[in-house]
Amino acid sequence: MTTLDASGAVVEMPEPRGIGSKSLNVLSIVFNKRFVGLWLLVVLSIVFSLSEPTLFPTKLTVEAILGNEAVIGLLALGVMFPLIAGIFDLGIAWVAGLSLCLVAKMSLQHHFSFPILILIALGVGAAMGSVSALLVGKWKVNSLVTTLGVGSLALGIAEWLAAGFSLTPQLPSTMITFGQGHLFGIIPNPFVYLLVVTALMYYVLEHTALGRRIRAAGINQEAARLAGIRVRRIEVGVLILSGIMSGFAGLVLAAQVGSANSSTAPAYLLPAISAVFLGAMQLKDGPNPWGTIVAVLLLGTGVEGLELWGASTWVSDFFNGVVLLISVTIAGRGLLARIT
Amino acid sequence: MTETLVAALEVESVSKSFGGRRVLSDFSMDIQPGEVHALVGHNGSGKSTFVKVMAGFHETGPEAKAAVSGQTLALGDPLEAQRLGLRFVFQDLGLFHGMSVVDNVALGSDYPRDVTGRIDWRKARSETKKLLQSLGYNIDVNSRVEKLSMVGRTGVALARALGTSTDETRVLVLDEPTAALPSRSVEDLFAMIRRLTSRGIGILYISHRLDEVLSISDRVTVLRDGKKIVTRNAADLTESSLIEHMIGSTLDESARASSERDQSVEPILIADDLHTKELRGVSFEVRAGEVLGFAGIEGSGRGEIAGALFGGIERTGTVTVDGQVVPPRRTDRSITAGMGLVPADRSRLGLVRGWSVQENLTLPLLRSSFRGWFLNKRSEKKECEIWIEQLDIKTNGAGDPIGSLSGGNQQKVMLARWLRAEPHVMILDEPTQGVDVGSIARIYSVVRDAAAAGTAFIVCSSDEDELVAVCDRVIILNRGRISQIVSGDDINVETIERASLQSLAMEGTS
Repeated sequence: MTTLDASGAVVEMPEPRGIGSKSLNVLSIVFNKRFVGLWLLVVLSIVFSLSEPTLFPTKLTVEAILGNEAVIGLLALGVMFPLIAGIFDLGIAWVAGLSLCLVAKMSLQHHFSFPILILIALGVGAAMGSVSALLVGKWKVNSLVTTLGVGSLALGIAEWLAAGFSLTPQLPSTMITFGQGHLFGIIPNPFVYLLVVTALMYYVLEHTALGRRIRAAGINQEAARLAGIRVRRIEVGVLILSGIMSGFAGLVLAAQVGSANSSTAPAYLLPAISAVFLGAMQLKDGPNPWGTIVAVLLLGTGVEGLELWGASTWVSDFFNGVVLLISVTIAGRGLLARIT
Repeated sequence: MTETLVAALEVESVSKSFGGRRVLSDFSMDIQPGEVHALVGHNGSGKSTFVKVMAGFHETGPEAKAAVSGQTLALGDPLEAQRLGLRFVFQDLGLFHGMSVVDNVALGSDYPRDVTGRIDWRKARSETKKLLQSLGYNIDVNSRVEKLSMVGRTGVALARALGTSTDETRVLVLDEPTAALPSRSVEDLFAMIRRLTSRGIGILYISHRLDEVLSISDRVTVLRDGKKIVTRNAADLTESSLIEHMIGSTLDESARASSERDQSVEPILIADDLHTKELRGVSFEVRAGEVLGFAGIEGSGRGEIAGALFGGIERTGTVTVDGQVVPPRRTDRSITAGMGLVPADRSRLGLVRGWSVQENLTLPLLRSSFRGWFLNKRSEKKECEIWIEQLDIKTNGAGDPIGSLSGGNQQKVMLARWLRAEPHVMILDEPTQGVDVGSIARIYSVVRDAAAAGTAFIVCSSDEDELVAVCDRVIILNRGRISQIVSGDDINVETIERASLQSLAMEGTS
């Protein structure tokens, strides 16, 4: 035993860690590449405000961005959470579309009350999520392909429900407040829901044992399993959760827009996925809730500003595409390699 | 050594630091053509770092110089190292498990083409086959690498490193080439090394197995804390003098807890009629405080004992811990029943890369002291620091990424992970693979202490010396069955080797 102490003593030469003074430390934190998104958000806001002083820095713009981005954000979180567990859920936007059309149709035909509509929206999301969960968790089908298939299934049902029309139901007044009201007169309610969900996800992922297990399963599935983590159960769980998130996003969209057709929600797919990958470089390495929100706001501000500058709508899709490609190139390669 | 020859490899003044910690300082060495030069040292002594510097994975300072056969090698450029004739076989072999042997070998050089530029598969297969045979391996070149034994995989890695144009190879670097090999095939590897040196290729041989180092090398260089301690002719060294150089003092070799187990005590783990791909009906029991070893050559089933018991792989047969039946493939139930597993392949099956030492250490047992609404990261860290101290884990802190630790220290983290859970039965699969002498002694002493406190151990190992050192009882497996059980003073290397080979020979005649 003494020899071990001797061998330990050999290496006992703790050198000071290579970090400079405190002030330098603060600077390096502020200018860390993880905060690039926040900085860009500030810079974009200033540039747009200076060039469009009457149009951009207004209550209306803030409301528009936050309101628009709320649904995108909810869907982005619906992609991000499974992605952390190593599962790619591409079906979210179509499932949200199904939820949207179903809520509208039920309201139109049966005049259901708001609580029942909530149950319908979350229920249909959970059901679609369960289909993916069954295929991925039980029969080990590739998640990317499965969720694409389930998404197509959802789109089909939504088209059948809407039958090519725009459904415009008489929504319950509580639901209209739910979707169109404001907190403090400026923050649209949907954005508040987004913040609440983000905070919840952040709490679970970073501050609970469950979150650790989910993240471990996403990085090294076999090591996680050998540490006693029930990886399949996690896969099933995140896919069902993702379905519920999509159902909720559809409900919010219904309340926000007041009408539904089968092509509304699918348009949110690309911005949501762009936000997830851009968010994977923000605040923390890898996909994370608050990083996703930063990305959502950054994308929303960029698109809004470009449209104020008179860019046509195709510019926003193009912009999302550029962001997706750049962020996948920089941050997403490792992520995708794990999943496909 | 004929000094008139130009050195196959000459390096001077190589230094390297990571985050303020100096891992290699002013290191110089040379390898002559046809020479086997061994590099030995403690965990984190800088061996792996040196190899990575040579391979061009790490940058070094401008004062570092290197030359291959007299031609200057710009360090930090992997392609340049390859072009000048440096070849590497890394410890993890770096093979693509899902691809065929042909594909794996071709990734080192290229596929042969026919006149139209298409891959000439027939030629690729026959060339690969010939290459493997010239190295002494008889492997089906169409089979996927994951289906091969470790011996076969080593062969493929060697073939890929050397490529079809062996003539261009000046220096072959072998990093722990025997770590995963059964002792039977070590001689085959040595024969291959001798064939290569007879062609004038210099070998840099890195290993923790000192007996092998002394038998295969011409010269030995000892590294300690990133500094060269000595370079000597192997003939002038003994195992104990090497150990002295490596850790600066002699090792206490009396290892085994000699007391025989009282066989009347109720067994804590009962395995009944285990069947897996390799195992064909194996039954045994372990008692509290007992260290039970499993020996056997590659393919004997030794490699599947740990997975079969813990739930890592498919199995039939029953496993009972403390009277509780543990269902197959349910690692969570194994843990609640009181088992722990340190797997053989710690980077693939044990560690979560990118995570800190702390997060890796607490992974299987997050519920104990950290439950509540929030994980208490401070108390988690405090607990980890105690384990770091207790097992002498060399790291800057609990928050350091796991990848910054050397192999032996990563293994200690794995050990701490499970000791923390206070298991009744601890399964160790190849516990000291790629671990240095100092850490090995520490790991053994931890095993002995825990066993004395009542933990039962199951140690599966291809290293017979290890089994002799730590086990109260050793079960020798052969072709999936128990061929012999030895205990107490009857455990010795000869008996284990004979039992694992003898029955094989017998079966071979039938």
